[in-house]
Amino acid sequence: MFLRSIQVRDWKAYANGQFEFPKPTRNKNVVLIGAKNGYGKTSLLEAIILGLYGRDGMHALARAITSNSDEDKSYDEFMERALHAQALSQGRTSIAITIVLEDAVERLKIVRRWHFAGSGKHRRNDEEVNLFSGKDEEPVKVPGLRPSREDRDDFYRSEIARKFIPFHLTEFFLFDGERVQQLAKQQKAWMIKEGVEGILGVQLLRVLQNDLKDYVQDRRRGVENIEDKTLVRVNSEITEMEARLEVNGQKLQAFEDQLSPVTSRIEELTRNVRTMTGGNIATVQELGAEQFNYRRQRERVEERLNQMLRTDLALALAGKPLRDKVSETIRSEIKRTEWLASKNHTREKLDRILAGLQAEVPVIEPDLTEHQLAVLRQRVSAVWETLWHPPPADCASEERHTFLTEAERRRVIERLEKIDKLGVAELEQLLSDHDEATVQFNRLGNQIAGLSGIEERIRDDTSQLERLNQQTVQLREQIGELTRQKQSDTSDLNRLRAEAGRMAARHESAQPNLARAAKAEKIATLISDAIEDLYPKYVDRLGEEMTSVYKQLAHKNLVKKIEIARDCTVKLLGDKGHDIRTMDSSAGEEQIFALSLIAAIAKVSGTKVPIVMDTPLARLDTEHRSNVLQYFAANAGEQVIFLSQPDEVNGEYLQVIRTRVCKAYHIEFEELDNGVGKAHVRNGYFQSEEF
Amino acid sequence: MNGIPLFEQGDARDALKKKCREAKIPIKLLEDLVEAEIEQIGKLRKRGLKERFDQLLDPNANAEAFEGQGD
Repeated sequence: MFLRSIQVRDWKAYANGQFEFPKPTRNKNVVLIGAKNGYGKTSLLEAIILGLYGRDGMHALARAITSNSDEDKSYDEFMERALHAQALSQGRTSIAITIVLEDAVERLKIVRRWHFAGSGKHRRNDEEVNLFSGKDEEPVKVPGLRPSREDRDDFYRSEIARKFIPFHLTEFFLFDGERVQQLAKQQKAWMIKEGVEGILGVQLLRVLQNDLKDYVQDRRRGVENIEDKTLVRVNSEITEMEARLEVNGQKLQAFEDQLSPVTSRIEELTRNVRTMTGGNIATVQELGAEQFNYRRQRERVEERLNQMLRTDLALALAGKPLRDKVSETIRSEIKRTEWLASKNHTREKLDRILAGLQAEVPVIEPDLTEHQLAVLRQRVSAVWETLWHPPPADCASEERHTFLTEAERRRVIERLEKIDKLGVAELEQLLSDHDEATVQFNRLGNQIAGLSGIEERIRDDTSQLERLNQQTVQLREQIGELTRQKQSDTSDLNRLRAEAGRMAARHESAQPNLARAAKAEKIATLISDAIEDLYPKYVDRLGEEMTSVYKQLAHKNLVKKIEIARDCTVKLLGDKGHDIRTMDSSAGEEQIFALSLIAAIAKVSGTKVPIVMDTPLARLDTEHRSNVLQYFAANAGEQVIFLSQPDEVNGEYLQVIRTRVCKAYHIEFEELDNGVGKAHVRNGYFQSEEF
Repeated sequence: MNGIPLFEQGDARDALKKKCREAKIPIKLLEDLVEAEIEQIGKLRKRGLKERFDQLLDPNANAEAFEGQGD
């Protein structure tokens, strides 16, 4: 891009200044701006640098370097000095610099404003920058919904760096001719290195390489955890579980294989024994035990019958009339006992009545005599006695069974009534049970007798059956245990597989990240290799180009070759291969060195940006002046702007570039009160020169 | 390659292409990554750079670009 225009307001000596630059062409690419010392040349260079980069450009300003280590304060001081002397008194409290950059397809307008308090104090936080794009000057929109001030600054800084040059390369394109010679100092090799690497893009590539490495680490971070730890553990557990299931499955199969013939053998033996025992698999011993039970049953029936013969049967044989008579007698005796008990109970009341006959109230007048009272008692007693006579009809007249208690009398009655109920049915049932037990007893006896021939075989088979049954129980227990283990293991395995599946899915979803990381790593290595291969070639070419430029600029023919090392230390080699930079060199020679370097860098990099040189020839002698002007005008940049003193680019030197000048200005200075003045921008190079 | 004169001069681009072919990296991808980095120049915070890398380094992207990469 080239500088299309720059407008300054209240910037140093410029109350208002406007510079318009035509589009440079192959043969007309030089802008010449003349001014006496102190009239505003360097101020214009500073305006371009600060207009483009704001505070970032401070490092490139020679006059901004102060002893103040406080960068904020240093910046404030510089800006406060930069405010035009009449601005505050005329009510203007800001500086504005507007720069327009253009190339064949783009136009970028940068408007930067610095604000001040009424006292002239710089309001640092109010600094403004705005970018406008295209001929219609559409505001360049900062990405994001609500960009912060830092976001805006970052974005604008990036836009200017992309479309023009990054601010750290300013010193190679926008420089003070007197100050540029510092590049010739050996200890400034780092500046050269930074510039060379910056202009060639090596710095950017290194930054990209580092960012890619950071990216690789970042994208691999979470994934490694899954892969290396949990997933490996889970997969290991799955493998272990599968192996255990396999082993247990084999064991289970083996047990089932063993069980099958055992079961078959048991069925076979059972069939044999059933056949031998007529469907009953019992042994002789068991048959004997069963026979014994029937014998016990028959004995119990006989015992009952004997009991019946001894007791119940005798009573039964006594006959019902007799049993009823006995029962009736005993009942009447019970009645009598009850009657006598009631009578005795009321006798106590009689005694109280008789005692009451002697009571004092109610009074009997005259009082009863003892005799009368005794008679009265006899009469009352006789009356009471009549109450209990005759005794109840069902009451016994006497007790014949005095040896029986009340309870025993009742049990006798129950027993006699039970005998009444003892019928033929019970007796027949007992006899039937006896017969059945006898039949079974005899049947089993016959069966035992029948088995006596094959008893030994049955015993063998049943013994074998018992052993096989025991073996079956053990096998089934083992099969059951293994089956439960299998179910548990299968459940665990399914859970682990599900977990592994989820992890695998996560891992799979991380695969693109791993692939990206691998690719990024490869590219970082590729960049490193490319720098390693290509950068030395450029440095060599830079040396060759610088040799060529130097030879064109310097009038002494002392330097045969310029060598630039990888660290950008530069050697100017003479005839005998010695570095002539080790010898003292003049300021002019150092400037030639620096300008050669800048020109070589610009040429080798192919960078198409303007070169703005303030006082380009100040320390150069006449021969060098022509060479530098001629070379830079023709080769160094797409657009070259010389800021010259009247006695610098003039006369024969001006003739060297005259045909290439596309625009010229000169700056006039109007002195105001108190030693301050105002710069005016005029067309044409000083009074007489027109282009 | 815009912004990287190192890759543009003389036979540098051919050398770079050769390196890209050997590494099976499409040169367009490298150019896009450089462009992404250029967009960050001067920024104090590189917001969105990793996400841009994600897009550019997507495993499913660039295959065609590589196939079509000439000498």
